[in-house]
Amino acid sequence: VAKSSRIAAACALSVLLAQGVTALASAPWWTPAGISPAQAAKYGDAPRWRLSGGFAVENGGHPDAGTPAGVQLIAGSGTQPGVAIAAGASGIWRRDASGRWQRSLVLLPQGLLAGPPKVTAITAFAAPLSNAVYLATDGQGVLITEDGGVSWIRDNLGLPVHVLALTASSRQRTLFALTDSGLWAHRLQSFPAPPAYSPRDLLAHWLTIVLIASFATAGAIVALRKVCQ
Amino acid sequence: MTASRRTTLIFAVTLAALAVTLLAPLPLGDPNGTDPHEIRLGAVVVALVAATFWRDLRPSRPLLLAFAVVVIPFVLWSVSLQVVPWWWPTWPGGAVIFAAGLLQFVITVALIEVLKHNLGAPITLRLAHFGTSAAVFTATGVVLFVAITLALPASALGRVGIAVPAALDALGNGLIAGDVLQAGAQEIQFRGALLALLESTLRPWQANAAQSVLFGFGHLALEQYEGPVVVLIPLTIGLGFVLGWVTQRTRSLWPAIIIHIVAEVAVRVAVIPGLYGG
Repeated sequence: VAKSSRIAAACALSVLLAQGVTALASAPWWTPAGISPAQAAKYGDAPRWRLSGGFAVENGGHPDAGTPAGVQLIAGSGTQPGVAIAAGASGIWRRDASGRWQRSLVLLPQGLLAGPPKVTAITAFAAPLSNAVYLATDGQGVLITEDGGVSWIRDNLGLPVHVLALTASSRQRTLFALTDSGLWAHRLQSFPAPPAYSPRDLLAHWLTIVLIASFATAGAIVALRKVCQ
Repeated sequence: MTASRRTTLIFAVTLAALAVTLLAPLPLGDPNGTDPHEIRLGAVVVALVAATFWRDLRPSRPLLLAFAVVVIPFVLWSVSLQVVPWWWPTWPGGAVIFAAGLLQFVITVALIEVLKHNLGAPITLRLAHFGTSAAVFTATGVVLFVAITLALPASALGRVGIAVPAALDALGNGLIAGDVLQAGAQEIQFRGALLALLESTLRPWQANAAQSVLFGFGHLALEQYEGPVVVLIPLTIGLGFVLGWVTQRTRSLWPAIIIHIVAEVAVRVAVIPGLYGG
């Protein structure tokens, strides 16, 4: 029993170690903005899409008669003409480049007795910086779609979940989120290039891994032999 | 030494060897993603099974083979997810996941056949029976699963919403079918082969606890899982224990298979999108 307990403790310790490594690898994407909401609003892009009489209108375009009823928020990325995301009482919708509207996202309840979070803003960079359209919620932070609303992921690493307003600044290459804990900024940046390893480093890396696996196997064989005697 | 104590120790030693093999090299983490951890897990299991042909280790062979039934199909599933897109870059993502799920399922069934017929291992998969109690447990289990996952904080699970176009695509392009095959294979491995084998020497609750611990910690090996491990591991240990208990109670593997399929599809459409990106 004592031996089994020691093995179990070693396993638990290994899991904690793995969690620590994972946590260290997760750097926050959002940081405090360090400016006032009024300043952030001044940087904000002129919207590419707007609503007029309940109809979606893209810059230089005509009101879209197929706009779903009840939408109150709309935005589209500068890189995808004709593509927009809209939200309102009837839900969250996507418009593809051909003008077809389709339900995009159904937000799930936040708990058994709680409703889904309220959508508080939709925004995108008007300049052709990225395909992203951002959707802010009061309870689930910010969601992002990069394929015109076909799929969504969370984009709020480091950000409080109660987001009350959201604006994009192409000039600053920054997204500003007003939350119940102040103003936060997410600055666009390229993914860092993967590090280049020398063949010698890679060899050392692989030999270490092979050694660890070999020791684990040899240790297990010795222990199993004792158990089986 | 009693048979039950011996089984417990063999189980603990093998689990520890796999845990060390998987976790100890993590600090050497390779950002290029060129560290196929599945290969070293598979290699350790194959080496341990091979060692049981040594007379001194022969009593541990059935249980180590049961570990192989769990680990080898997982290794092939995970490796094929990486190799197929590299070899056939034009294959759509859903087709890759379906092919990987099919491979995992076929290899699982084949290994169990080897276990049952060639080695005479005491394995009953409990697939022949689906009575009224199994139907009741299945319906109750599905409802309870949905209620509990809705009651848990969304931030802990990564549950945000269902992207309707992506979910419809997943139904049509083989993603969901791949998940269904994967869920079926895992139930046959854990609540089928491993549980049956452990029950031959341990008390039912001990056998169930052991297989659920391996099921829970096995989720650490999912490389693409970037969510809160601190939630996932206890959750999957608990889910594994409940599914094992239902299997023992109803003497049928079908309720566990159906509940697991519901869970897998729910994770695919509602949880995974919330996990990536924080």
